[in-house]
Amino acid sequence: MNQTLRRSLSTAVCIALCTVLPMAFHAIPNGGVLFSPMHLPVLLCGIVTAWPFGLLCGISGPLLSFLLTGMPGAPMLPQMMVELGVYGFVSGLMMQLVKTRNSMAKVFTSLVTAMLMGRIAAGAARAFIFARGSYSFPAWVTSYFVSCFPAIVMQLVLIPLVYLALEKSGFLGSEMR
Amino acid sequence: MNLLGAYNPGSSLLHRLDAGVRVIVFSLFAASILLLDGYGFIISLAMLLLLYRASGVPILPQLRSIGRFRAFFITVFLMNAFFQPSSDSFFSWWIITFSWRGIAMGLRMVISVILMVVLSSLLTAVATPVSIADGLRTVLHPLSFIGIPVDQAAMIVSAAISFIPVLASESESILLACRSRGAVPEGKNSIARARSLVPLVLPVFLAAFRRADELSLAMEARGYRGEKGRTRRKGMHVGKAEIIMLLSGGLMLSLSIIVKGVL
Repeated sequence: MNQTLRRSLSTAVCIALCTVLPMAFHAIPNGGVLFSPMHLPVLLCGIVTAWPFGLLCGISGPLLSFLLTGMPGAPMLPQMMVELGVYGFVSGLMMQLVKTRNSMAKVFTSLVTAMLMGRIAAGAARAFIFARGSYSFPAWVTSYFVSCFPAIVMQLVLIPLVYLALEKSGFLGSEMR
Repeated sequence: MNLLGAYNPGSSLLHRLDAGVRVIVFSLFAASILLLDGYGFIISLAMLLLLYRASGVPILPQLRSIGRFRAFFITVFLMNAFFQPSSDSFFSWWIITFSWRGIAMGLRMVISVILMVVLSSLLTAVATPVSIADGLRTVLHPLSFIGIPVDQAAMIVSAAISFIPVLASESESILLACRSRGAVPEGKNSIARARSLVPLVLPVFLAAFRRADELSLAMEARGYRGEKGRTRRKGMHVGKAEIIMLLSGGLMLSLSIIVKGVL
């Protein structure tokens, strides 16, 4: 089977989920803000496919969602593209770099590293480009770790579960990993 | 309600433009807005009013939608007004400096962002997402000569657009099924809430990846061998309207550069 095509289409569904999941989460009171649903498909895309696909998903996911639904708002769009782009890129790269037979250890390492790097990149982007001179360390900690704590927990619970389910269903054959 | 980002069907000059040319023209106008400030904002505003008039898209609903971001605009303004270091401050304490320079900078930033949002919402009002993806593919195509897989990326984005309605209806069914079984996110602590989302999110992801798998099999069975060497049904078309809009964009950018130099 053509693995590049399979990876491409997996990326396409992840990009589509960047638009669909936030719409579904908005049905839950405050769900969009609490659970950052757009982060899930991007992190998973990097982990399941590879870093170029993860990067594309992270950049085009929020852009497409903005074009179709107006969410995230235009002022937030550039910094979200930076954050999610780094998530997709680092999670995919870490899956290639970490060499272990335990797939769950690999997924957790990639996930945690990507989540941390994405937050650092987004904070740096806000501090030096999008909100230059008016952004502080406490504001970064509050917005990227405290207010979105439920989202962090959900990502750490759900992504390994989805990966495990995909592995069991045979979607992640040895050629995809 | 005309939300930001919503397509507004029509047959105006901007609606009929070639997808690639439209992306180039809007980039030229965006560059002009970014260059201009101070009195230049009047020129940007006049340009936007003209573009909205030419497109037949009403501007007032777009402006009302921008009101949703007022908290963001107020924060940007206050951050600049109170934290901009300045020698001519009329109030200063610790890191807080309130000055005319800060106020002016805050206002400039807010106006620039609003104008850019108004322009980008016009682009999404006159072009469907597929057409914007096509336009980007045409404009970025030269990058493929240095090894960047632009065509493949455009194919992925186009496929994503066609997946959205299918996945949206699937996730809605799953959400309704979850609700009918009483499986709604609850619990006070975040771990419990996150756990209660598993029955909703897990099937959505599995269904999505199953669809990707099925489509890749179908495409391969029909002889799809990647974007390389693929031909297109519709090529780039540059007619009178496209030339007029390209000239207008170029003229606007030149004017902005001159005004920026003079002011």
